[in-house]
Amino acid sequence: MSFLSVTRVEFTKLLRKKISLLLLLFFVPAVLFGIGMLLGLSFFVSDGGGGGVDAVEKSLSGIGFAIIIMEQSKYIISLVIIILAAFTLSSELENGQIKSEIIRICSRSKIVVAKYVALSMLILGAILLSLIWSLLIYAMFVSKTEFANGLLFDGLAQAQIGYIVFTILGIATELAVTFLLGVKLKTFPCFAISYIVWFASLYTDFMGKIKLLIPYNMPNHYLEHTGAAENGFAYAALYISYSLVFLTFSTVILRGSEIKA
Amino acid sequence: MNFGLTVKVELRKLLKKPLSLIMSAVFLIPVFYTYSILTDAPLLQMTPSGAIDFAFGQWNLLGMTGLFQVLFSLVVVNTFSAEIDRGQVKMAILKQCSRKKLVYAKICVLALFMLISYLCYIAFSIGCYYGFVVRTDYGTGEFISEAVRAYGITKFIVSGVFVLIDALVTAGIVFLFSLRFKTGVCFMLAIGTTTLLLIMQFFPVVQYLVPAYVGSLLDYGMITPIMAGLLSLLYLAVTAAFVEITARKFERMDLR
Repeated sequence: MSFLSVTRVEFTKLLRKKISLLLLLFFVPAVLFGIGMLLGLSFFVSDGGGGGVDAVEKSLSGIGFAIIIMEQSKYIISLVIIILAAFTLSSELENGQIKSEIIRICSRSKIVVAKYVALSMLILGAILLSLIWSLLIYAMFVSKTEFANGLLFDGLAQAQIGYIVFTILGIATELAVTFLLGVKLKTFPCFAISYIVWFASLYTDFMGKIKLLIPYNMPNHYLEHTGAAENGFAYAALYISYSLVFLTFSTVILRGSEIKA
Repeated sequence: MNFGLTVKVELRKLLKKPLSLIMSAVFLIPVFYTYSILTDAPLLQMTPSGAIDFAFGQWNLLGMTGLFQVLFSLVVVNTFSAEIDRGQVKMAILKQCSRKKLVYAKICVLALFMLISYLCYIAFSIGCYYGFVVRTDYGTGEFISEAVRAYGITKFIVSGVFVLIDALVTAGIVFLFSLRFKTGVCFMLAIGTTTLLLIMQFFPVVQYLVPAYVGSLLDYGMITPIMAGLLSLLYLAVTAAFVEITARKFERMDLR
């Protein structure tokens, strides 16, 4: 079976899995914030005091609103991604489901890469759709409020697009890490350790220049430096190479492992 | 087998499970904060503190991140739901005691485990303080600072207990889920419940349903200790109700 066909099979499998419904959570924050801003609900538009979410600036453009929603949803997005990745590889290895695929379809390395590509495509699709969804919510609810300027883009467009790209690259790395862990660990420990690794990366903000070696820190750094972050392409290449290295290790380890039926 | 012995057996089982070790990841928080202080790049704007202030401050930060709650809910799923799924719980019933007693023993053991984690965390944070922080400008060298004494030591310590109640309420809900759903679904529902509780803290009115939020109110002096005590009793009663319903349903349940 060709790699493309295996990826298609994996993609269809993912679409049919109930667990993929978790991706719908990506669409919830935009609705909550959009309606909250329209109605001027204090807990969405406050300055962060008294338990409010410090989330809303004035004169937001459409893409600015989408970025804020993405920033606010980071925790949920990461959690969902780690769960999906753990269940895509580790769970199938744990219950032996992957054995029938290896016998019927193709080599182990092809299956791991196909699973990774299929899951990445699904998540990328969900993220892009959620961005479009945020823009729709902006047009419907937010654009007429005092928080919006009614424009699609503003002067920060390059930095904002960079933010989105680096967030997606960070997600790709997260997926690869969870896959690598999933090859050897059962579903629960795989989720737990991947979650802990992600959590630890949140606390690397104080590490000076080294922090940029960790994909999680780049989106905000890029946004804060209005797109002028040094060597954006070099960092993008670095993060892609992380994913490739983790994926290569996953396939090598899986090739040498015994899989239960 | 009497109840005390069942609790002992369950506690030993829980401590021997490799998954229970993931709770040690919570130590990352004091490690990160201590390291950031040592490199003079504190993660938060910090004022010089005493050992107890530092330790309980770290505990409150942990509660805000949700790490403790997420990892603990994983341990809860692994303790009850996974055992039902694997059929392991049947052996426990045959060898040990009645089903009801087993459910009570499991929740007691989980509460005990949570308390042990809490005490270890505080001890570890105090260790970090005396090992490293005390030599920096962020450590006063006192065990309890003047500011905390003025605020009230009991109130300061009690506010941290609400994070534990938060995790206990989640455990009660997960116990209920375990009877109906398989481990995978239970695991997702547990994570969902934990996340929901974290998010609910930002919404008016419903935020009072979240124990950790009431803890932070107490911490900021926005609620009286009596009110906080009454609310914590309510949360504990809800958890007890969840466990009781689970125990009753578990008695009538078909086990494979």
